[in-house]
Amino acid sequence: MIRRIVLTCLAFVLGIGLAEARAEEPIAEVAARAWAATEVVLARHVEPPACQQMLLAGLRAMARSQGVAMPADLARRVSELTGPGPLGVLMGEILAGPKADDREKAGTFDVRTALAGYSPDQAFFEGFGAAVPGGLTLMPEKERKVRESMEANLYVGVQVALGMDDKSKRPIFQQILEGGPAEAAGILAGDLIEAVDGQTTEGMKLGGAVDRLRGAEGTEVTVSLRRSSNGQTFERTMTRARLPRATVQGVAPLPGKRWTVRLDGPEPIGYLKINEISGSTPQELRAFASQLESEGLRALVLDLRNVGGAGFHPTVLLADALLDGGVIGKVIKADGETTYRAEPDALLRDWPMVVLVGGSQPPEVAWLGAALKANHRATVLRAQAGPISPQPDDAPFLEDIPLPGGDWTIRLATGYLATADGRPLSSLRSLPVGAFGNVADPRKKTEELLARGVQITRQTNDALAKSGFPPSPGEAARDAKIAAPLANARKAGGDLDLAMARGILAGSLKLPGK
Amino acid sequence: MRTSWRPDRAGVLAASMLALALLAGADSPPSPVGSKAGEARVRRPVALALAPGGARLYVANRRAGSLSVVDPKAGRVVAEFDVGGEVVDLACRPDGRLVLVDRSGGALILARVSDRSLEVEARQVVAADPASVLLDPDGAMAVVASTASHRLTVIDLPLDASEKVAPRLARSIPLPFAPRLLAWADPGMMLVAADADGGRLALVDPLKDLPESVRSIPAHNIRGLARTPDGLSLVVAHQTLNRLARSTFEDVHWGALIGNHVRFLDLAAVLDPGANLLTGSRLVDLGRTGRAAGDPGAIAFDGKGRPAVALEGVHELVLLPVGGRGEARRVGVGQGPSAVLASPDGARIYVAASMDDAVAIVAVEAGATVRTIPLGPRPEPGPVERGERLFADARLSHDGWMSCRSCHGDGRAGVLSADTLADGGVGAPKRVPPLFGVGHTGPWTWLGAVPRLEDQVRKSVETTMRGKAPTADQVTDLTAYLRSLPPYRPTLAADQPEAEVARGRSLFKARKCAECHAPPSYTSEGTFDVGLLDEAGHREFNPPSLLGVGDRPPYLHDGRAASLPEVFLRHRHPRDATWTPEEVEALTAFLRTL
Repeated sequence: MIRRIVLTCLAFVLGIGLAEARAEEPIAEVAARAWAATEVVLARHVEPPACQQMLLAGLRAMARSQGVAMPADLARRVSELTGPGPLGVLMGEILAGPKADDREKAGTFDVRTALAGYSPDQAFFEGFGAAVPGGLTLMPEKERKVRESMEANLYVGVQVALGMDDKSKRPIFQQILEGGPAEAAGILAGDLIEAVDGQTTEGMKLGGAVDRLRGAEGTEVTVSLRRSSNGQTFERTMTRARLPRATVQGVAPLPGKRWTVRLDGPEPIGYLKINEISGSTPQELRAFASQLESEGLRALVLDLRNVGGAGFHPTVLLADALLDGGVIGKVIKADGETTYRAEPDALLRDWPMVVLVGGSQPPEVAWLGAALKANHRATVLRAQAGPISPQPDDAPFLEDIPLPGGDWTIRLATGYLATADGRPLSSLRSLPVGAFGNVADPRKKTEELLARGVQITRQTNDALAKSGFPPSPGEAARDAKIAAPLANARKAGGDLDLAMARGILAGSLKLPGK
Repeated sequence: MRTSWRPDRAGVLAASMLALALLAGADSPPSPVGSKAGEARVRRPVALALAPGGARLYVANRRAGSLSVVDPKAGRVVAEFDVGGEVVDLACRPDGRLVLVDRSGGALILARVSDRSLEVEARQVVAADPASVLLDPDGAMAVVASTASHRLTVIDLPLDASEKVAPRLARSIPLPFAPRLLAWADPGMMLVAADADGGRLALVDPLKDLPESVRSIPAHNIRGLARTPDGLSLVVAHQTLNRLARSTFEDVHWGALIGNHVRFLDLAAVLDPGANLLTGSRLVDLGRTGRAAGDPGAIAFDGKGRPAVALEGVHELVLLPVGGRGEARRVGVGQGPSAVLASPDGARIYVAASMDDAVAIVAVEAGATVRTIPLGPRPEPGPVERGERLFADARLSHDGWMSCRSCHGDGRAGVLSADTLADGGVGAPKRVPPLFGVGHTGPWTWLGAVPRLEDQVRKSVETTMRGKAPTADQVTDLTAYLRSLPPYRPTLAADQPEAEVARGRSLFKARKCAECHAPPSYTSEGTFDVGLLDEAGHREFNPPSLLGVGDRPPYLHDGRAASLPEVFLRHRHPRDATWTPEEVEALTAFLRTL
């Protein structure tokens, strides 16, 4: 939830803030940037498209966004371009060209809607990026830093999400993050911003307001507010601060930002859920690991089904924290591959572990799951049927590369993620499928589910044995242990993936007195 | 005063205690003849021992080469006697005799001490560069760890006819690493020697000529090693450095780059030479995000068996529950706490604040420093001394995660590779260089890209430690300290066969090694392509100094060669050179004498 809000704030800035900042930019500079981006893509992209293809797509989008007709010989002219100068001339000609006729409008209705309100350069890079496999993001340096701090979970600010009030055309506090400076100052969602540090917000775009609210850690910002409920006006001063998002949680919240971590039931099984893999996640997991150990638990369900965003570097560190040496995985680039190897020692060493992954998730999650599986560190259960991961070119390894001059950075796919043995991620289809994600499916009968659970457990026996987990006293006993929680979960209409995981772990633990 | 650091609370306390001591001077008993307690000098207390009964606390002062005799109850220094050399460790026998380690003199010193005098009964030469001593429970045997010699020296300590200790060299035990700390795993029977550089631990029977086993834990900078009073665990205070992490603000902030820990090893696993040391072990994070615990060190246990660990970099003592799990309390104790010791009743912990030249007394239940005893007057510090303090101060880094010595140890290289920005980017971790004679080994970094040591100092603080930009004075002081570090003192030379060394020296000349590794520092200013390529595409590296090269495997920019012979036979240094095994034997013998 929190993540979504913060990222909403980011999206505003990327979308709207830029339009404002770049409105008056000379076309020659846009052309220079476009040319530089083309060169970077050609030099660094793992499977670069043809230069003309990118430029053509960009110019078409630019023309469409402005409602002007495209020159009939555009493709030929693009193929003859020799540098940023001629590109700028071509861009200028297109923008000064005649309005597009209705037929073309109708034919490109969707595109026009999508690009409506874009400035020519924004539209150009939309089209340009769409022609690059794995996508392309162009960011001014300022925004790259914000994005980096978001991904590191180190964002400094007043910790709010802003919106635009349609009626007054002024920015409004849409959401206030718990524990942040705005909340501490008593600001409520819905408060209208009339001025920031004495500067009226009349006529101010949203990006401008976001810019003024941002600043360095420990600095102050004063806002003049109008409360929508009673029309009162007042001022509030906030000190900009970090407010790390909690990216890991347990079973149930306790006061003081703590969580219970033990699953109900006789077995000493813990449960952690990761919502996002960011800079803080390995550190949060370390803290939870000592809680799990001090509560006497001996096995873990690690639930990754809700991971919405994952940074590559934090994923490497998370895999390292869970693996005792071994190869995590590879990144394959045009000019070679990089192998990531875990350092010695692992959290929760020797614990039986089940990792739940979802059906459609950031590729880093599948990469992590593959690493844990390949090193026999965990049984990985896929929550839903269907391919766990996208095709290789959909599992991009993204890198930020500054354009010459340093004012702009592009993020593009310089490689793709591969497993430890160099296979593309799509081969993860061989993961055991726990087809229990769809608990609402009335056609599935309890018996079927139980049978499937037992079958999967047998499949995982090999992996369990290889990872040094103690074999259960007997197959029958293990099967029974799995069957019981599954049946209960089914009866209660609960989380069958989790029940499955518990069953597997219960079977892997030699329980005292059992 | 030119000092630019803030005096911390303990420092202020120390100063005010000193003022009190001076005021109360008239009432204190006079110091005995020959006592240096009133002399203004830099002392650097680094080790503590209690007299039988606990009425006197003995403090080894490394820099002054002296022993302070402290009355902990009265909270005053009774006397200070010069021992000579560099006193780096001490222990007290049940009969009250002291066993002291003189590092620069390479000797073990047996002495009788009273409030009035110190009488040296005997000196026993040990392997060069001794760092610590361990006595068996009845004080009849001492084991000394000599770091640069990679050796333990076992010495029997019988009394002769005239009731004097007559030390007798029992054996010298070679180790495959540079040992610094020792602790009993099974008192009197089996001991553990810990690596000064990396995470190796040797299990040693002092009656045998070779170690029982050498195993590793993921660790470096092991500065605390102690057996728990319940005899179930061996506690190791250390740091970790993750090669996958980078020295970005993000990774430093979240504790991904460097960690400050104690690990509880299961003693049963420690004593079983075939067991995996990590089985049944527990790793405890000493700090947390926002308040790190840079440079954990010496360990003591209070009367209830609760560990107290000195945090040398952040100038605190951390009081842990039994087993290390649960609420930790932290107490300011003065700058650079280097040694800790529990009082006989276990209610107090004595702490040597090495950079303050003081002893702090912490009341465990209260969780507070209740007394600070200055060991004597101190001269106004010069740039080198101020730089030394800064070098060990983790407050230079973001949130106190590390000090300079977290990676650079005592100037040694450790076995570390770190992905810092010293090579201009991330993704290509490189070996941490040693700092012996570092003033003469420019230009700096593996790429040789930094011609001024001052710039490298500033860069390290900002882009590796991620601290605030150091002030110009801080940079000047740190650089002065670095320039004061002497070149490596050859310690392995004696072990090398002379004929081989001579042949190696000729080979070094014939194969023109000196074109890059030019004496006397065995380095040069250029960068050279010697057939190596890092992950970031760099091919040209500045040759590292070869002084002390035998004492610091692994080799080459990323530590890819585990031993000196591997550098030539496996990696064919330089640039696909061909060597015969005989040539390599001679050449490495010569290199080990540098």
